[in-house]
Amino acid sequence: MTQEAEPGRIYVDTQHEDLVHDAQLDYYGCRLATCSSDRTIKIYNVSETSYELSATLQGHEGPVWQVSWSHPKFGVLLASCSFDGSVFIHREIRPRDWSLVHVARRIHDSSVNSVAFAPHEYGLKVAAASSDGRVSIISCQNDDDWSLEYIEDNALGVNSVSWAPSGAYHDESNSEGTEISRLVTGGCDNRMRFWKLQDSGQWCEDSQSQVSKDLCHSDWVRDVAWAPCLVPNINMVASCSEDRTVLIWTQNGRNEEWKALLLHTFDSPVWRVSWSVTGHMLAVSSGDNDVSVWKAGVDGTWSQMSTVEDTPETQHDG
Amino acid sequence: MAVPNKEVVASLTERSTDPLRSISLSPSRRFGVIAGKDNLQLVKISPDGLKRLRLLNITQYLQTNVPSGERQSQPAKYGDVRDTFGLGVPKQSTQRTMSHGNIAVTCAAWSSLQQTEQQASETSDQTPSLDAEKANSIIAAAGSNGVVVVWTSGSFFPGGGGGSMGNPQPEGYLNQHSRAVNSLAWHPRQPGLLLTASQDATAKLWHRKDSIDRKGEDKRKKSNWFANKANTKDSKVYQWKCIATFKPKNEAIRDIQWSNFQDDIFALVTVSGSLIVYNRYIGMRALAKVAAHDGDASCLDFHPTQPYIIATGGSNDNRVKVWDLESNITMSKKDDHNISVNAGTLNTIRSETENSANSVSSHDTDKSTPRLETSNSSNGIRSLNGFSQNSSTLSNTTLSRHSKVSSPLSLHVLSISAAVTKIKWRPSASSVMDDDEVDRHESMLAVASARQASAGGSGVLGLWSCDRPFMPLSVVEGHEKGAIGDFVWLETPYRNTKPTSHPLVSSAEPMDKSRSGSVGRYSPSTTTDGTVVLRGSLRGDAESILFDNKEKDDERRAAPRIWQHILSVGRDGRCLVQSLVRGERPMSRIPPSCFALANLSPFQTGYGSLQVFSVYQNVPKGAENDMKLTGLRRDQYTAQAPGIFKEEMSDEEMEFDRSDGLDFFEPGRRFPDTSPELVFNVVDGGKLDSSGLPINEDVEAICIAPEVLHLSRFASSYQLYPDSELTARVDLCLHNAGIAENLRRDSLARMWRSIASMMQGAGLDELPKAGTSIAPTNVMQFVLLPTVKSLLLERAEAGDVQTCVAVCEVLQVIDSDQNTKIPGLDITLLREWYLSYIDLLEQMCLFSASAFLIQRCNDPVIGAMNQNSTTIHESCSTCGKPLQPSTEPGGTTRKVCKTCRRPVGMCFLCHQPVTALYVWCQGCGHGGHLECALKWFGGFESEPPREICPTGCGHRCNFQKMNS
Repeated sequence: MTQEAEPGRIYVDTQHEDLVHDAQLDYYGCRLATCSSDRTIKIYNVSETSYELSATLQGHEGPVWQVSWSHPKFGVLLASCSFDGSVFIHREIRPRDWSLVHVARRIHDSSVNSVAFAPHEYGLKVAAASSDGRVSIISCQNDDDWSLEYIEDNALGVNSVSWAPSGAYHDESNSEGTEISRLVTGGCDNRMRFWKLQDSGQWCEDSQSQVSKDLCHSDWVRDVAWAPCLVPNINMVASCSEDRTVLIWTQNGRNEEWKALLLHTFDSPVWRVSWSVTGHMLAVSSGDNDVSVWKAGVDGTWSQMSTVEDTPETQHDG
Repeated sequence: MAVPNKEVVASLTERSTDPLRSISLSPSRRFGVIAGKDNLQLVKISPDGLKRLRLLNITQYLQTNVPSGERQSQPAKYGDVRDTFGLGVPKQSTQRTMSHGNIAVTCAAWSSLQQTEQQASETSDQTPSLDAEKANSIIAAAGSNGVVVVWTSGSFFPGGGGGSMGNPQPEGYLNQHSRAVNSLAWHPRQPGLLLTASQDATAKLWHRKDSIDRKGEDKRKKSNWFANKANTKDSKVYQWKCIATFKPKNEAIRDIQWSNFQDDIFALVTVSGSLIVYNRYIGMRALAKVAAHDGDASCLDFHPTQPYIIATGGSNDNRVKVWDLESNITMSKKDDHNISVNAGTLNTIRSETENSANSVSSHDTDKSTPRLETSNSSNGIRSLNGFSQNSSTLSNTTLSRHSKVSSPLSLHVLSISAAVTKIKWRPSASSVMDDDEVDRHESMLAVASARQASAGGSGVLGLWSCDRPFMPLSVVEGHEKGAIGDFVWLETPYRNTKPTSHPLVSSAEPMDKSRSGSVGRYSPSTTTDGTVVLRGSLRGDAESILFDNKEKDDERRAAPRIWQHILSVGRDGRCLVQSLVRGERPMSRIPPSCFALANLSPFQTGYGSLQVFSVYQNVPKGAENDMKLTGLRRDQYTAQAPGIFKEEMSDEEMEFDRSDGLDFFEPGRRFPDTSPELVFNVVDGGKLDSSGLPINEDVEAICIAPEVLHLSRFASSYQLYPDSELTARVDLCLHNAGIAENLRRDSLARMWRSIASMMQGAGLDELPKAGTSIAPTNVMQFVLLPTVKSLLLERAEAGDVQTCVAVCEVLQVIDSDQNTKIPGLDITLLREWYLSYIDLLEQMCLFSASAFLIQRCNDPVIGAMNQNSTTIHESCSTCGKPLQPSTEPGGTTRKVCKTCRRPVGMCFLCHQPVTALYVWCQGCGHGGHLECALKWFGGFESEPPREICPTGCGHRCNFQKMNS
C-alpha cells in the first residue's frame, strides 16, 4: 500500500500575478484551488511530484480572498469570495470546463473575507463573512433555486466563518429531530460569536452557551475553526488573532460555557488556523510564512510538533 | 486599531459648524483659503499648526453685486437636464432669486499673479516673500448662484492692502453663470486666466484685463505686461471679461483643470461621467470626449509630470480611472511638439495652435491609435501592471481604430469601494533623498472618498498606487463625520542628517534644471536615473528655514522634499493636516501566507498521510518595506526635519535604522516581485525508522502524528471480521495487535492484547447481548463492558476514530436490533464514529475499505449507505439510449434494447453474452468480459497494451498504462 517515493516538497508555480490569498485541496486531495489578488482562481491537478494548471476562473472584480470546495456528493463545486462583495459558486461541468452555477454579485456592501461550505449533511449551503458586518448564508433549494439569508454579526466586520461539524451536538430528548446547524464567526470586534439556526429558520446568536470572558483576544480575530467532533456535545474551536495568540475554546456538554485555553503566543500576528481531519491536531500560520503544527497531549496540554531531530520520544505515544 | 486619529498631525482649532467645501493654497503654500458655507477663511500653515487668520462672510458679495446688464447674455437654460442631474450635485442648486442665507460658497481658488517658471512647477522652490504674495496673488470664490468674486489676496490679510479689514474690496465679479459654479481653475502659469465650470452646463474662460489695456489682442505680451505691473504694485483697475464659453454637453460640469504642461489644454468632467478635453482656442470641438465613468464623475487631476495622463474619479461607480490622452491631445504635425510640451513655455502662438486645430479632425482618427500604442509600450513603463498595460494596448489597437474620436481604454482602474469625492496626484518628490533613495511617487494618487454616498459618512483619504488597484497603500480617516470636500498635498521637507556617510557626488546641474527637465513621458522621473545628490546638507535651524526664506533660500531649494501630508477640509467642518505616514496600511491586514492541511491523495507521495502546504510569497510588510511600498517615510529624518510639523516618534520607529535594507531596492519594482509559489511539505515518504517514527529527510518538513500517518495502513491491514483462518474474535484482536506492533504503535498493540485477554478470561467470544441480564460468572465478564466502554471513549477523545470503529466491529458492539451491547454507549454516538471514519476513508480514496465496512456493519443506518447516493442508469452500449424496463409480463432481464433492437450485454471483444463480471469503459460505455478487456488493454501474452476501444468507436478508453 505504501508508495515509495522520495520525500520532499512540491513547488507549484502558481502563475498568479499578485498575492495568493488562499489555497485549498479538494476532498480527495487531488485538486488544488488557489485564489489571488489578480482576481483569478486557478485550479491545478496535483499528482505525485508534478502539478498541472487545469483551469483559470475569472469573473471577480477584486481580489479573491478565499475558496472552499464542496463535498463531492454535490459534484465538483468551488465557492469563492472577493473584495468586490461577491460570492461565486463554480462548477466543473466537464474536465477543465468550469461554469458559474450561482453568482451572488455584490451581496455585501464590502469585502467578503471568508467563505465556507456547510457540512454536507446540512445540504448545499455556503456561509460568507464580510467586512460589512454580516454573514450571508446562501443555500441551494431544489431546482437550482438559491436563497440568501443574512446574519447581522458586528458592525466592524467579520473576518472568518466556520461551520460546526455535523454531529457536534446531540440532544437526547430529541433523538429524531434534525440537527441544528451552527457556525462560529470571528470578527474585527475581537470576539467570536456562535450562531445557530432556529426551528423557525432564523439564525440567532447562541445565547444558551456563554463564552468565557476570562481569556479573550485583544485584536481582530483573524480565523476561527471548529474542530471535527467525535464525541457529541464536546466541542472545540480554535481562534487566532492579530494579538498574536491562538486560543482553543472547549465546551464540555451542550449549553455549557465555552472555556478558552491559550495555545501559544506567537511572535507575530496569527492568520490562519486549521484542524486536521481527525481533530486534535492544529496547524497555525503566523507571521510571514511560519506554519506550526500543534497536538493535544493526553493531559489536555498542547505541544508543538517539530521536526524529527528535536522530537522527544513523547510523540509516538498517542 | 490603535489610538484613533493618530494620523491627524494638526487641525484648525476653530471648527466650523457648516461644511467646508474647498481649499486652495497660496503660491507659497504657506497660506490657504478655505471655502465655508457662507464664508472664506484665511489659514496660515506653519510649524505650529494651522491658524485661522481671518473669517470673512462673503455672501454679500455673491448676492448683491449682480449687474443686471449681463443677465441677458446668460446662456439658454437647460432646466430639464439640470433637474435630471440635480441629485448628484453636492451643492444645493439655487435660483437667482434666493435669499441671502441660501447662497453657499462652492469653491475658492488662489493663484499667483506672478509669472515665473518656478511657479509653473507645482513644487515651487522660490518662496515669494510675504509681501509679494499679498500683492501678487489673487483669490476667486464662487457661489451657488453662479457668481464668482475675485479679490487680490492682499486685501484678505489683516492689515493688508486693498479694502479695510472688514470689507476687502473685490476686484471683479464674474457673473455669467446661471447656476452654481462647481469648480474654479486658475491657469498654472498664465496669471489672470480663470476657468469656471458650472452646473449650468457651461465652462467659461475669464481673463483679467487692464481697463486701459491697449493691446488686448496680443495675449502673450499683455500677460507679461501684467506681471510686470503687478510686481511694481501699481494699483490698476482691472476688468474681468469672459473670453470663451465652452458647452461640452447639456449637463452640469463637475470639475475642471488646466493641463500642467500644455498652456492651452484643459479638461473637465461632467455629471454623466464624461471626460472632455479642450483646447482653449477651439471652443466648438473638444479634443477628446471619453465616457469615463458610469454616472457622476466628480473630479479629475492632470498628472504632475506626465503631460497626457489624466485621472478621473467617479462618485457613482466608485472608481478612479487613469487615462492616457496623448493621442487625443497632441497634434499630428511635427511642429506640434513645439506647442507647450515644455513646462513654462509661453511661446504658444495662437496661429500655430489654430493651424493644428484645423487638422484635428483629419489626424486624430488615423494617428491616434499608433501614438497611444507607442506611448504605452516603448517606455517600459514601470508603473504599469503587466496585464493592464497589455490589455489597454491591445484593446486600443483593435477597438479604436475605426472610431471617429478614439476613446481610449483607461490605463488603470482603481476600485475605491466608496464614492470618490476628490483626487490629487501626488506631486513628485523634489529631489533625490539620498543616493539610495528614489522617487516613487509618480504613479500615486490621493483619493478622497465618502463612506456613504455623497451626503454623510466619514471622509476617507487614501494613497493609491496604480500598481495596486484594489487596495490603498495608506489610509487616513481624520474626518470622522463628514466627507472630504477638498484637499491639497503638503510637502514634508526631508533633512539629511548624515551627508558624510555616503560619498557625495556633486551634481553639475542645479536641482531646478533637473526638475524642469523631468517633463517627459509616463516614465520614471529623471531624478531616478542620476546620482544627483544634495549639494549642501541641511544643518541649519530646522524651524527657521520655512520662514526665514531670505537667508535660507538656497538651502531650501536644495532641501529634498517628500509629499506625505495632506491638508483637507470636510463636511464635518474640520480642517486637518493628516500624515499618510501615520495612516493605516491596509496591506498589513492581509495575511502574507496561506496554508492548508489536507490528506494526501493516492496519487501523491506519502499517500494517506496528512500534509501541510503553504504559499511562499514575498510580501512587503513592516517598517523596512514601507518606503518601498508607499513612498512614505517615517524616520528621524522626516519626522524631525525642517518640516511643517514636528512629529513625535515612537521608540519603535526610532529603533528602525532605515539605512539598512534599501541597498537592493530597485525603482519601480512591484511587490511581490516574484510570482507566489505553493509548497507542499510532504511529511514523509511512508518510511519508518527503527523506532517507528517517520523518516524525514527534509528538515523543514513538518512531522505529523503517527496515527494520522498510519491511518491508511491500518485501514488496509486491520482484520475486523472472522474468516477461515481467524475464526475467533480473540484471534482477530491478537492479529490486529500484531499489526499495531509492526507499525510500532505499542500502545495500540497493548490495547488489542488486553481486549483479547479480557475476552479469554471472560470465556466469551462475543459481547453479551444487550438487555440480557445474566449475572457475570467471572470477574472478567464483570469488568469487560465498562473497560471496553472507557477504552472506546478514550480513543474517541484522542481523535482516533479508526481504533474506535475497529474495536466496535471486531467486538460487534452494534447488534442487529440497532442496540449497543455496551450499556451507556449510545447508538448515535457509534454512528457518528462510523460515519466520520467512512468519510475519512473515502477522503483518502480507500473506497473498498469503506464499502466493506458499510456492507458488514450491523447497523442498518450505516448499511443503508450502500444505497444512498447510488443510482445506476443503464443505457445501451450500442445506441446510447437508456434501457427501458421490459414490458413483458414477468420479464426482468433485458436482453434486447428497445430502442435499437440489439442484444444487450454482449462482450465488445468476443461478442458473446457476458454472464459473469461485466466491465465497461466509463467514457464510451462499451465493455465486456473482464478477461477480454484485460486481453485487449492489458497487454496480455506480450501483446502491446492498446488504448483505443475495440468496438472501433474511436474512444481512447485506456489513457493510463495499466498496472500489471
